[in-house]
Amino acid sequence: MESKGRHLYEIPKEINNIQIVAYYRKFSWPLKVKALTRRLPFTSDAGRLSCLRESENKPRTTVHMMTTARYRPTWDLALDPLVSCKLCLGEFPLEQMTTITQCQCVFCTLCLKQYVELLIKEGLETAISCPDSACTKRGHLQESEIECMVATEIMQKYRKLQFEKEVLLDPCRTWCPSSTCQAVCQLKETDMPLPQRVQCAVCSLEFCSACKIRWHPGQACQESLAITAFLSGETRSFYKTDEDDAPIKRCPKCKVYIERDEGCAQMMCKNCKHAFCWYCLESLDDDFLLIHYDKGPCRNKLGHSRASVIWHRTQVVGIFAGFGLLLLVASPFLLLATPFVLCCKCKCSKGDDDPLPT
Amino acid sequence: MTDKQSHKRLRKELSELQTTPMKNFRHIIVDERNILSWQGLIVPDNAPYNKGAFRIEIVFPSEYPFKPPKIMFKTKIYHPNIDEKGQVCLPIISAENWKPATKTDQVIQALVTLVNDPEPDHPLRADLAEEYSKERSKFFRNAEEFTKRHSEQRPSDN
Repeated sequence: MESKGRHLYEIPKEINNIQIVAYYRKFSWPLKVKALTRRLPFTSDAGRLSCLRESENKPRTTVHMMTTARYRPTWDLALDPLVSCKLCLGEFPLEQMTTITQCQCVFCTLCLKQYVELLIKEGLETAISCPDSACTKRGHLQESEIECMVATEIMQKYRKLQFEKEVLLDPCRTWCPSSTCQAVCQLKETDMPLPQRVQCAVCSLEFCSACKIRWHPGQACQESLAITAFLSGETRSFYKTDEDDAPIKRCPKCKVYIERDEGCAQMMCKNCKHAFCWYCLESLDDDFLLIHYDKGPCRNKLGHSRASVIWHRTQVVGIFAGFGLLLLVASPFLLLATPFVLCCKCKCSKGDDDPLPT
Repeated sequence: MTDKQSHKRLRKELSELQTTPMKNFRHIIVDERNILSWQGLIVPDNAPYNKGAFRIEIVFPSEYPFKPPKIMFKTKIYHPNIDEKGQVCLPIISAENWKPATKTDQVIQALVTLVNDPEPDHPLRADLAEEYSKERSKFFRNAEEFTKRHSEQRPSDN
């Protein structure tokens, strides 16, 4: 380790074409300090520097000392490194860069701002992810980070998007379906997610909470009508043939339209993360073992081979068994530790009660 | 502002591609007046496409890299994932998967991989996907014949 580190910092006899390999503890990406050569006393192709990461036990100053010993100290690597931005491919001093807290990926502030603003303007997603596909942590930008970066009106739009999503996922609130109104209406809290009559407090429109069409007392929602209403002529008759095979259905929970183009029958709504069976729309949220496809009308309709279902079940059971075993092994220790924890708590609370510190 | 930034990045990517050329993407042509449109030859390694080269066009939006580029095949190709119009379904440049830090060489690499090894599970041409899955030798014969007839000459190695 030592010798390797020393080797990295060896000064070549020839000044023309030195390669300094410095590792930076603080940064996890290769620091490119190509532009530094401009500030060096030896210009042209003399100093081609490529900085990598500082090895953990290597003091930063080594690079500094080594270079200042031979050349005029007109630059300081430790203070002013140039960092490359993966979005514009430009190189900037650190103060022009922004680090995403969650994943520690670094981009130039200008690029990151443009990226965030464009995503918000498009209004598709409120979870803004790190713009690098190579980001292993798959980090997201936090609201406070976004707020620091974007203009006020963009932030307002972001908050609006968030609110819309919140209402969409809230079982107790819904949007008034009238295009001219669009107020938020409160629903009555019930245990069963049955369709109920909602009256908009703003425009007094009466509508069904489930299908969003005019309230239909005593009748079931005509969902297929709503789906095919989007389609015209030929396509409509094509899609209407068989309910079971309809390529577009609505999520039983949030009512968003879902098109299934491929894959098995176990569906998860991208919008509200509700899991359900594509054919009968029954909830599969608690059916980890997919027992639903062993009996009843959806028997063998999952779309996976028997072997892969069995493998899936083995995995699920394995995970549960693993946790159980872990708990079993840990239980004597937990039992032993309980009195100590309780005693500690008692002591603490006793100490708190005492007005005079001892 | 955004326009200039996209041009700057594309110029950098282009010069990188010119200094370190890709084995499977050759003869890159970019009109100086419009850096947002590139053309080049895809040179696949695997049969049945390794007998020819295929011209593609990459069109970058003015919001690049924040929006993905589009790829079109200018040369006809007998491939389950590329349709008759030359449209190709490449997940890495789909709107929902696109990440701005992805560079054009990575996109082209993904495209070359797709050309070399078709994915019959996500086809654009269902008929070819079925032929590829069920009658592989027949598919190879047809694709080879098609490549001979329509593809461009492979650049001589230098």
